[in-house]
Amino acid sequence: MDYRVRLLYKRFLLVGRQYPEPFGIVREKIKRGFQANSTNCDKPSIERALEHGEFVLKEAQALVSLHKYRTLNKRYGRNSDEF
Amino acid sequence: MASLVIAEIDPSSSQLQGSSLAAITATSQITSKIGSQENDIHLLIAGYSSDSEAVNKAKEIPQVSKIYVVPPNETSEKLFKYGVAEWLAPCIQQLHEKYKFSHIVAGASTFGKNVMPRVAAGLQVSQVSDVTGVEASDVFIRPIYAGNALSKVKCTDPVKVLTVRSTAFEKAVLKEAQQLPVEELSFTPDTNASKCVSWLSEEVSQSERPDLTSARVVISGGRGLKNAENFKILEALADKLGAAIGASRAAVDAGFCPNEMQVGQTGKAVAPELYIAVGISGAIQHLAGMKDSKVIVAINKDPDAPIFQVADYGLVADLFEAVPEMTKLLDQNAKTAVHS
Repeated sequence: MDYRVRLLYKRFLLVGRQYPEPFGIVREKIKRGFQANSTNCDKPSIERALEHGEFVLKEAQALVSLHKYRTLNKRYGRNSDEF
Repeated sequence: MASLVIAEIDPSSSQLQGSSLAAITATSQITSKIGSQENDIHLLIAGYSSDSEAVNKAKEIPQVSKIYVVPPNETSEKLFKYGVAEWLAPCIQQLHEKYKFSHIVAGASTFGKNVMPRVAAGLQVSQVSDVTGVEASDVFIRPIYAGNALSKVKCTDPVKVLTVRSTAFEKAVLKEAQQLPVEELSFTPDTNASKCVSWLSEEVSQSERPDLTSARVVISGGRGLKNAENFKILEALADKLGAAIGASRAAVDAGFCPNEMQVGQTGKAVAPELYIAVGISGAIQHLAGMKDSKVIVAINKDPDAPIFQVADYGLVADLFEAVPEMTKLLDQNAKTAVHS
């Protein structure tokens, strides 16, 4: 296995802990995503999959911070009592 | 030194736009932090004569102490009124060379985003865009990374060129009209760019629906709608709710709807009371444009779609069934409301 794949998986697990969904569900999703690409053996498709994985990870990170933003805004933001 | 605010006037009603009133509030916050005597706010109204209604209205803003007007002639009238940057920017530049302002401010509307970068480039300074807060006369707060973080920037340029977010500042309250000096300026285009542009015509897309950025309810469609025809089912629902219609970038790029409907980082930022996302999976660039909505409702077939993580209410269903059903239920409710 390419060491970058393992590294990416570990990073996904780290971000997954903060994801709005329960970690058990998130981990299953991550696993499914990686297993779907497990038959990729040639170099270009591995590179492509890694790039896509990096993109999805960034999206997930941004989603985590967006979820946090909305939660904080609801609790303490302007007009928070109107929510 | 005085500060200059560029007024954006609605050409149809000759009223000052809200973004300009917010820009005036922002500028008065800046000048209050300078603390010296010479911290007047001047207003530039291009394309209107000194006795026009727009100028009379501007005299009702208590913070303003001087007004510059550029009286229109046949060629320049439309170009100034509609804020064509090739004309307005050199005009602002010439005015600045004459009076040396400390700040040049406009609202971060399409108007300001169009004109101010050209002004900044012409003056060889860097612009501070989308200001949401004022810390000192040269320190501003502005969002970065699609609004995920706020940065505090210090502007070291001799003249600060700013665009300010109208949602971050209260609109200046109009009071009784005051006697203000009005100076008429003459502007002759001297750059190649201004000679190259001329006014041809305007086409306004007439729509009964409220404006996307100020609507209380927004319904957005994404790639899940599959084609432009299917946007009609959203229109039926929007009519019932009195909602504006938006779209995700995927839908715009696929040609389902015009570009002006795009909600997101590259499109419009909306903050309605109710946001209904139909067939949108929720790319982060789209979510950034609607994150300040009060209640987010998502309808999507895919239960794993990221939009469900930020939505307050999610419905995993086929939108071609769910949306018509919602429209029908609203219809029935309206009928029973009439009968009772």
